[in-house]
Amino acid sequence: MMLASFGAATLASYLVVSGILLVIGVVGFLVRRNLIVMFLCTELMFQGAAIAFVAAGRYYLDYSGQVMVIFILTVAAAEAALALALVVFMHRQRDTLDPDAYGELAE
Amino acid sequence: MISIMQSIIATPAGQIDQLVDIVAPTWAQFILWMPLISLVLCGLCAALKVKTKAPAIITVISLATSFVLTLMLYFGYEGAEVIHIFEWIHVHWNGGSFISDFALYIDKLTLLWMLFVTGLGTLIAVYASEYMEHDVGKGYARFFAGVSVFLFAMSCLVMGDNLLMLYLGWEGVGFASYWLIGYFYQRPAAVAAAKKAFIVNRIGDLGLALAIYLIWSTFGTIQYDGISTALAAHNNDAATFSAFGGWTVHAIPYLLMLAAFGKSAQLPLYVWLPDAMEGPTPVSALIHAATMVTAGVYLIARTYPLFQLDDYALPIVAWVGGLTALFAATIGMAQYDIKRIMAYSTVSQLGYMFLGLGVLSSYGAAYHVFTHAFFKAVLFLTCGAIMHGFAGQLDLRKLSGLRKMRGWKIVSYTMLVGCLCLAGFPFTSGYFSKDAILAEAFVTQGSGFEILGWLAIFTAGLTAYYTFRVWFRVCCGPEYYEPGDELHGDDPSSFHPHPPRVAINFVLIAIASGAIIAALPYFMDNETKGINGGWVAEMVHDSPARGGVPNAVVAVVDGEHATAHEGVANAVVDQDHATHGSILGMDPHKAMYYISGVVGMIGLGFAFFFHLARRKAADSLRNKLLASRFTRWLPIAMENKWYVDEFYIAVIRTPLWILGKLFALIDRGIIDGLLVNGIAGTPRAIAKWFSPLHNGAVQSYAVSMIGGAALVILLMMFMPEIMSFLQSTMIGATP
Amino acid sequence: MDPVLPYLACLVLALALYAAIRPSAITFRIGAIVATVAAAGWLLGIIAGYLSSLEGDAATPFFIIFSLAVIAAAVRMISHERPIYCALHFILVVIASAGLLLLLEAEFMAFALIIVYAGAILITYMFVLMLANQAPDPNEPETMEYYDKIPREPAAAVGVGFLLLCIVTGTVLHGTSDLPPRPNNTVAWHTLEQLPKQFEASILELDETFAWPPQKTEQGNAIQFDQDVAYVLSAENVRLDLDVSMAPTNTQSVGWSLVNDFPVSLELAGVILLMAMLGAAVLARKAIEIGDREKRNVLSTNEEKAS
Repeated sequence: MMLASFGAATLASYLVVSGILLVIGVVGFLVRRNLIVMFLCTELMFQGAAIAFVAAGRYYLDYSGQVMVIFILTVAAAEAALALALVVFMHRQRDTLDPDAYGELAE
Repeated sequence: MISIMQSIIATPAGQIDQLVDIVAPTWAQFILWMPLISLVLCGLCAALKVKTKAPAIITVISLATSFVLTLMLYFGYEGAEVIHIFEWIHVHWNGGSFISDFALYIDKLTLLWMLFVTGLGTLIAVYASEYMEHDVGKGYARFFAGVSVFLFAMSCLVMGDNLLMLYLGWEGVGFASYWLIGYFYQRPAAVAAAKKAFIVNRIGDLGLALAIYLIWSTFGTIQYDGISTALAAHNNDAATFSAFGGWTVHAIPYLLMLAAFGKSAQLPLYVWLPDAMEGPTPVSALIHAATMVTAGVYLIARTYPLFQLDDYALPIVAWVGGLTALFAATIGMAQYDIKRIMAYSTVSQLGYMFLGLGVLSSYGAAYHVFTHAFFKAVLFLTCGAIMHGFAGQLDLRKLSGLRKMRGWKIVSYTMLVGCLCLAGFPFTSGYFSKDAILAEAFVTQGSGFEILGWLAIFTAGLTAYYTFRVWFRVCCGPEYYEPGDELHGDDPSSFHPHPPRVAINFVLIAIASGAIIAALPYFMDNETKGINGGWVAEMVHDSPARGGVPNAVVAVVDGEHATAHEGVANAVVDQDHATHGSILGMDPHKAMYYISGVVGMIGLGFAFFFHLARRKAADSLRNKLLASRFTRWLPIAMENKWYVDEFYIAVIRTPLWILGKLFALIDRGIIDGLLVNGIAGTPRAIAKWFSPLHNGAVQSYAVSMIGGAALVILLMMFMPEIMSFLQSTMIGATP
Repeated sequence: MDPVLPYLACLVLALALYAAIRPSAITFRIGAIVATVAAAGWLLGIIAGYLSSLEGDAATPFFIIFSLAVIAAAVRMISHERPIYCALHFILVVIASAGLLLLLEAEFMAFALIIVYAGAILITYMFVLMLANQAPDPNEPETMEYYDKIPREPAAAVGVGFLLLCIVTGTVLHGTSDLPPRPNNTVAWHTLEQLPKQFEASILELDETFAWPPQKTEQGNAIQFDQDVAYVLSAENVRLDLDVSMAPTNTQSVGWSLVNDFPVSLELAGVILLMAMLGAAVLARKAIEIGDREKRNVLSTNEEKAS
């Protein structure tokens, strides 16, 4: 009954969508040179993970997947708050959002 | 003074016994501890930056206490005894043991040494309290701490009951010597001299360490008593020692000799002593003239029976001593720095002492040590007073007529006393002690001892010459002086010499009196009457360490002359007189009184002629010698100390330096460069390929991270395939 | 051996993505994005064809629409040069993925995602973007920051992404087909059982004559299952079939699961949020140097006020 409403879009389809989302997030994180957009890309990866969690939870008929998404939301919110505070802090010092400008620990 | 001395000697033994019996003999350890206490207090003074003469007072009081205790020990002496202080090293194992207690061995040889070590130490500390006063609050405490260390180490050396304690003291005095020579550490010359003294002494110390090891492996003990017992058990016969194939008993005396020659500045290793005069003068007087340098003589006297195990050991000692005496005297003749002259004269006199030991006259050697300690101390101290008063001037060409200057009379006449003794002027202490050695060189039959005797007599003439050269130049003649270079900011034109004050004058008189009185023991009674040499002879012969059998035949010089004169009563000597050597057909002991007196007078006469009566003659003689092509080498070589230092530099230092450079090249090139840096460089070279990954850009790290994660997932995904593939290849490989 | 077709689709997707993120003319970019989305749809079709024997149902078109929208928005997001548009496209991603969550019957999560992400986090991003970036004139690209215009090493990034995508695809192909689904949504019914008031009320609403309490099995469960149908037995042994609509809602279930199964994690999440708030406050505040005199002045005025 439950499985029937899952439809033609099986778990695998959702997982592939979430995987594509994750990959796009990764690629974005790697190619963008703007600190804020890089953090946005990490949010994109979170989205992919969230879809995978919910789909798997739905597949196993277990609500833990959705609870995990709540935690993901928590972490994403905390990360956004801290990361953006850092970005503001750093931007105030260097007036740029290029991560290369902050590479003082490099050789 | 003499009467007091005699009254002390004449005091019935009973009274002093009562005095001594009040306290147990263990108080004797405080002879050792007093300097150590003084060291600690001086160290405290240095730490608290005391700006008074407190360190000097502390040191003088503690050293005087040591001296008084030594006197008490002497008057209470009843026989050799060991005073056990604490257990130091006790190692036992299956079938052997190594025991070295912290114990004192008190016999008369020890007491003889301790008497002048502590006595002179006290007086020189008093002298130094005035001499060093320009350093009050700066190095004053450091100086007296050094003196205290020296006295402690010297007491250990002399009073120790085993060779390890002697070694402790041996190294300790070496260290104290280094400390005090380098006292003026801002002066490069002083630092270099300190280093030189230390390094040259290390050569001798190596010999001593090896000797102690060999003694322990041969006799199984390093305690003097134990060695004596072991020797007695073997009848003093070297052939019966079979340990290690029997070579050790022959090696021991040569190693000990090396040690003694290093410490006492004998021929191959004497070079450090003249340079050691860079230290403050009281140090030169105490350490480098009176006490420390006689440690070598003490060592040989203490281990005399070991030297008699080898047929050639003692003759070599005699020859080295005799040649050193002559050699150093020739250098001393041509020097202008009075302190340096005294230093070479010390080397020369030490040579006499070794000559005495070598020709079986250890009492002569000991007596000469005793008298030399006094007159050389007084000579150094007068030099020091002059140096102090004339702003460091030591050149005898630039000083003259001191005798007539105000305030310098005591210095001049005490110096005269010292010079007379050193020159062996008849009826002075040096005259008797030197005669004892010279005569014995003719009495004892040995390899070329007679030649050695004549050489020594010739040297005695040279000694008289160079000694009085100093005195006539400095103290007689017209009044004239040039200040030295240590003006402390004064204007040279307005310079006035400042004569010594109470403390220095008192000490000079006291030690000069001692130098005169030191002639008395030669005539003093002793319990075993008739021993040639009186009190000192008794002190030396009553030393159980020397074979454990006092007054007995201890030496076998050669088969025919089965008796030697060491410790043999006159009666025995008379019986065997036919076998003794003679000089010009006379008994050497009597003949030597005349011969050495005459030789001394001749030397004195030459000195009078060249340096007082016609001072220009000396220079003209020198010019004449220089003018002639055949003789010019003589004054040049003598003035340049026979180029020994240069020879050592060429023969020892330069090859070592080249070798060191070579090893440094090997070390840097092959070991450091190829092995160490090469091994360290390999990972670095490999890392160079990967280091672009660490470019500090966040995203490149992210690439590595994600790529790594992907690889891990791939590995997990294909693990079954990989495992089966591996298994198949393994199975395929096994058959 | 795996089929090669999904990986080919992955490669096409990666190439299209590469074309999309390289700086080029806007029309070409749009084309590249369309190609990316098409490749993603192809990949989805291949996967569904391999793994699902079921016929499409009414939800399938929505799934296709939402998933392609998510992917299109995401690609446009990472390829857009202007950060503010990136953020806006991310909102689109969030909304589209909320639609996917609705298809997965996670209604609460869908709307929570929109509220939290689009409503709170993205607004924060917007604010920071406005603080940090001078809004450039859209007609003059020169005013844009250089680091927004030039992507960094797109080839390497896409290579890594391709690898990752292949792994995801491979994992899905390898791992999901042999996982049997559970026959019943027992979890939801058990949640209901643990809410006794609601349980009693809903049963009595269904049948007022039901003799409360119901019988319990040996395991202590009141709700029993007959194939897909859940029922309870009354004390008088009367069987009452339960209607699906009686099951707790998604929000209820998630809330119950949250407080029942993950209480400690919930507390920790609270602590994390608190720390993040404090940290953000500490980091972002402007350090104001106060000299001793100012401090004293402040103190003295305070004292005056107090007196």
